[in-house]
Amino acid sequence: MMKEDLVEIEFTLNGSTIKLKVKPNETLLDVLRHRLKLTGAKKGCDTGECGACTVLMDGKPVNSCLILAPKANGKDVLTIEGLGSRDTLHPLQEALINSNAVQCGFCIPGIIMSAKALLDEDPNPTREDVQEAISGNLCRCTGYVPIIEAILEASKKNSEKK
Amino acid sequence: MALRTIKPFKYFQPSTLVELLPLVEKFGSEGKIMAGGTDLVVQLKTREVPPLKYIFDIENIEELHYIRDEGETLRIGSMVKLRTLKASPVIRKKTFILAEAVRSMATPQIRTMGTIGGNLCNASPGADTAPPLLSLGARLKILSTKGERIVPIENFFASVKRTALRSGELVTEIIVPCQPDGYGGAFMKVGRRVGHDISVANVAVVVKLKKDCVEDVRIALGSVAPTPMRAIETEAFLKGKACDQGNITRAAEIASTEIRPISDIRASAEYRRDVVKSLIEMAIQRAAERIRGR
Amino acid sequence: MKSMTEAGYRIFGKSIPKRDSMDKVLGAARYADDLEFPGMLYAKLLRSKHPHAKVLRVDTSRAESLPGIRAVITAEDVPLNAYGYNFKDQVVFAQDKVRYMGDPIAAVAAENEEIAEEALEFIDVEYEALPAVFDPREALRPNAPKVHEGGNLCFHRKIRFGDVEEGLRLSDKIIEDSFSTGKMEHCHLEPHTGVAVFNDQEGLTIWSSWAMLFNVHGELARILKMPSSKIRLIHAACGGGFGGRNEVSLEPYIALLAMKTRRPVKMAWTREEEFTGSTTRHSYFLEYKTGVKKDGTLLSREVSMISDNGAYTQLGESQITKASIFAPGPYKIPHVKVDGYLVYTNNTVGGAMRGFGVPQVMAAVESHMDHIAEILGVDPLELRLRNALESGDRIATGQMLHNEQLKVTLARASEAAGWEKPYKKETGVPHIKRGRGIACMLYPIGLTEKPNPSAAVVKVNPDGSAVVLVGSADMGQGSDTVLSQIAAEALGMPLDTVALVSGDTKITPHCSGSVASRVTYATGNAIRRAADKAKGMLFEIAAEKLSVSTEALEAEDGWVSVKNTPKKCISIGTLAFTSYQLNGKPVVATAYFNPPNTLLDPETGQGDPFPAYVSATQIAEVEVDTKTGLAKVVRITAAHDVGRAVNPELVRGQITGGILMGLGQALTEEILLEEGRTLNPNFTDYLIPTAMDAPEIDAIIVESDEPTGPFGAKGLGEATNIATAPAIINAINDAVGIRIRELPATPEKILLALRKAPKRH
Repeated sequence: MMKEDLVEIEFTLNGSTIKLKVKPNETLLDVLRHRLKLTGAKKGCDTGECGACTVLMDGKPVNSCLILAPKANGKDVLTIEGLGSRDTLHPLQEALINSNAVQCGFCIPGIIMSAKALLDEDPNPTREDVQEAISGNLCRCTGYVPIIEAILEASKKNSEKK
Repeated sequence: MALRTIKPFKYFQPSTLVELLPLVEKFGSEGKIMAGGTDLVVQLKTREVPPLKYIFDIENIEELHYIRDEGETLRIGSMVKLRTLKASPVIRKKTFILAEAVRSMATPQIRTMGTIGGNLCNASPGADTAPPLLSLGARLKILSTKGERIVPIENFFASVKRTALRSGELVTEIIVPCQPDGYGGAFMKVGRRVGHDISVANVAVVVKLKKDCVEDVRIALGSVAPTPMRAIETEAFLKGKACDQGNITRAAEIASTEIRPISDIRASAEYRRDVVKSLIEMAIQRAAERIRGR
Repeated sequence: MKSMTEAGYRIFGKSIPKRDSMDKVLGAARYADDLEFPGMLYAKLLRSKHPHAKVLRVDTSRAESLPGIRAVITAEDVPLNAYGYNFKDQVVFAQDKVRYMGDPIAAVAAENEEIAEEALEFIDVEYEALPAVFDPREALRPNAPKVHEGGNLCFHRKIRFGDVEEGLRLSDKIIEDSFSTGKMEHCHLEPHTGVAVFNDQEGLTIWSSWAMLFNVHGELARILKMPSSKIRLIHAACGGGFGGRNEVSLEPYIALLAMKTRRPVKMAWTREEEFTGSTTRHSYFLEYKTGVKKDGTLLSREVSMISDNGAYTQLGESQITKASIFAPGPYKIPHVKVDGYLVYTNNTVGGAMRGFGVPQVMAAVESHMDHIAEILGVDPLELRLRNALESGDRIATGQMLHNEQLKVTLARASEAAGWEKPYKKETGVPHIKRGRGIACMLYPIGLTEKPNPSAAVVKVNPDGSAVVLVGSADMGQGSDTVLSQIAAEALGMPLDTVALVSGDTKITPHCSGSVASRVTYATGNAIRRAADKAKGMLFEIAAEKLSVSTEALEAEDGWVSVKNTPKKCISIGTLAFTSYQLNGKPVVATAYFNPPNTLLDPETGQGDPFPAYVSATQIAEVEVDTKTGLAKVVRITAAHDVGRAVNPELVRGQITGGILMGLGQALTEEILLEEGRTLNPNFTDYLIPTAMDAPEIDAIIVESDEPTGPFGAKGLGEATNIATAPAIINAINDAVGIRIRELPATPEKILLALRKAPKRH
């Protein structure tokens, strides 16, 4: 790869500004996982069908495996690593832990990001709204039901806080 | 369909059309325009699209992101995201069947990046934005260094995954006549599961009734021919007839003979022919109800 | 019967939050692909382009000379090029023949993924295509192309119980049915991924995830001709198994490449390779013939079934054995004959997938039962209650059941679903019809016909905390948490003082696998035994100190006390310290548990194949769109017998997860193969259920004390996806009078069947 074929991008990642030279043929998922060592977003299919790679871009969920790295230029990207911490969990994270809705966990970072985008837009979703919001996140372990319940639980807690 | 890494290419991200067009003119034959990337990136990985020398990312061309309400017409920039269309009050109000189609498409993630222009230019026979635009009589504004041309959407799709675009051209705008007063419309699709799926068949209908007689009707279908299509004979049959069950059923029959469905891994031609009839019946009924309901 | 809280358990029976949830919601759990090592290379596999062909020549020289390629290996590089669970008929690399399109021929290790992929195109392979066979029924014909030298009948399981001819003679009605089920894929979200590191001091270390860690360990040692003590498999965080991680997959390739290059090597299979190159769920053709009395009493059942094993045996004959045992369904039937034929074809390899043959047979037999109910004019629930197995009854292998809860599950599910109540088939939308269906099932705990022990080591540290070592890998279902609960309860210690290490072939003792729904039972029992031994050492000291006999003592919450005299107590810490530091006896205890089973007689299938069984009933409510054929599952009521639930929320998670997998089996999932080529190796066209497909689920845990299980527990990991498909199929029939006999019941199949059916009203 010739040096001049690299593209310089600048974007906000989990609240901080990042400047990177990226290869145009690598995806945002590759950049996150290999360059930036943020391995929370997962590669489940690499073709935008499973949602395990979901991150938020300007507050909306995207399949990072379908975003060529230069497209992130100028965007505001949020990954699971930027959401909560061991001491300050996001209500979604707390709800998922407390309800034992997490099994193998591979789909979970992606689902949390999709659910966060939903709750940011609609703090009082219905069950159908939640199903639609995570319809792009496949899960094979849980059958979705405990996860849907946890998301609804988190939305109630969120509303109670306000 | 082996999954592969994407081979290197030279990447351009012009910020204006003036920057873009000469690039596409010069390098277009060895490259592709990338809109949201949700189709192209997959196709590069499966090598459905062979390795490219150039990619022109039009994401940041501000001039392509707009929805303009001109009263009886909406002008939609080709880069408008499906998500934006889904949430847009003016789309919902004036071209409801387009909103109805977008709501049923893909997943939240794909809708964030996917664009209306991209969906049309990918030209899948089952593209969900196509039937509503066909039935509303949309036109596409196509631009190149040589100038601008307007192509009615019914002339835009050439065959499976092929459009009327020539090298060096891009779609900049979709000109959509608003659903006129007195018309009702409906979009419906059939998939293989309750969750979102690629359309096995889809239909958009707009209809105008006068004393419960069909004064005007336009029916567009997807996934039942190499390209999205208008059911011309069906429309001709219905015009002037009473909008009753008998005529609707007869119309659906005619439609099932107009279409050229194939059998593929998603569905057989037999199933498509059958289900198209039901879709048309239900769509016409729903469209008619929506007029009467007002 | 005492409930858990009545019985006084403080940790067992509680919905303790899983230990790994925190890491997982933070994105901090480390799955194999998250691991990176300095100098790591990337490996790719070259797979066969033909479903059946001679391999005349493999020339890797062009690939080897590409910049960035560090090694290329083929069959010549494999010390022992054969493996397989029972029959060693599978190869690491195809040598003279390829038998399916996923068969590996060569592997490369390169500086990056892109170069590795490129290099595959530079490996020249000369094939001579051979006639191939894809339909297992064709494969049984005398002149069919032979996949293996010995012929295409890999294995034939026979069950003979009573005399079916006699049974038929006594029957009032004889009902026959044919069914088929499609090939399915596990679709665990994490693709097969592994990293191998080799050096002369430590030998070979591989990070990946496996359900049968020790099986793969042993196979790898044989393949590499290395002592297994020089091979270490470490189970990383696992993105789901469902049976797809039981056998050797990518280990030999990364091992050999790491050994050749002396650099770490990572291989990650693509999602496509998961469909084309990993094991799948066997497809089945099933024929049923049942003799029944007018009142619904089953007298005779004959089953003949053909299972498409694909190119290699893997766990095939254990799988068809299990399927054959349960093919008659969970019923008392005096005369049973089952013939299960396991057949080689040039299709993708059949392995183990959640239920191991039983989801297929249960889908058939429970649909068949419903058909029988229809013919007799009997309520489907009634028919099942009349014939359901009970304690003291014998299954078709002659084994007598104990603690059988099937009727309880039938009662609880039907009550919760309001089965007796009148039910409206009209939905308000004329073309959408509602229907209900019931299905039940029986499923065992433990491996089929093999000893399958689990061992456990319990160490009590001088401060009174404990470390438990088990070989059982946590596949995501929460076994680490569940086993910790059992350990803490058994030791009488607070849960947060018990650490558990699992899934490391160097450190942890052997386990036959996180398979066959056996971990809670077998490893739980091993832990219990080891804990009792450790506790015994502590009690000896306590008995002396408190001047009582050891029988008078109990342990709870970190204290050993005299029963009914809680004030007379000593902390476990004090006792452990005393034992180790003062008496010179470290508190370390080892134990194992082997679920008792016997081999089945090869001619009659008679024997006691499993130590315990679980049963369940599921009732599905569906709405069928008669214009499109689309079936929507609205609600599932599921009652599952689990013995005692160690962690009720995790039990519920298995029920909800299994139900959605069963829903996929019923309605949408099938690997489509044409001339050995997978047509839908992706999620766009192999449709697994999404969140929008999820029905409402009423999960009922039916508890009882299993005398042979740890604190009365059994298991349920697979049971949950077995009754679902037939319940849905039966519900569709109830809604629209169509019985789909070829799964999956896609909208197309339903609609076209509706068109062909005589009008109902």
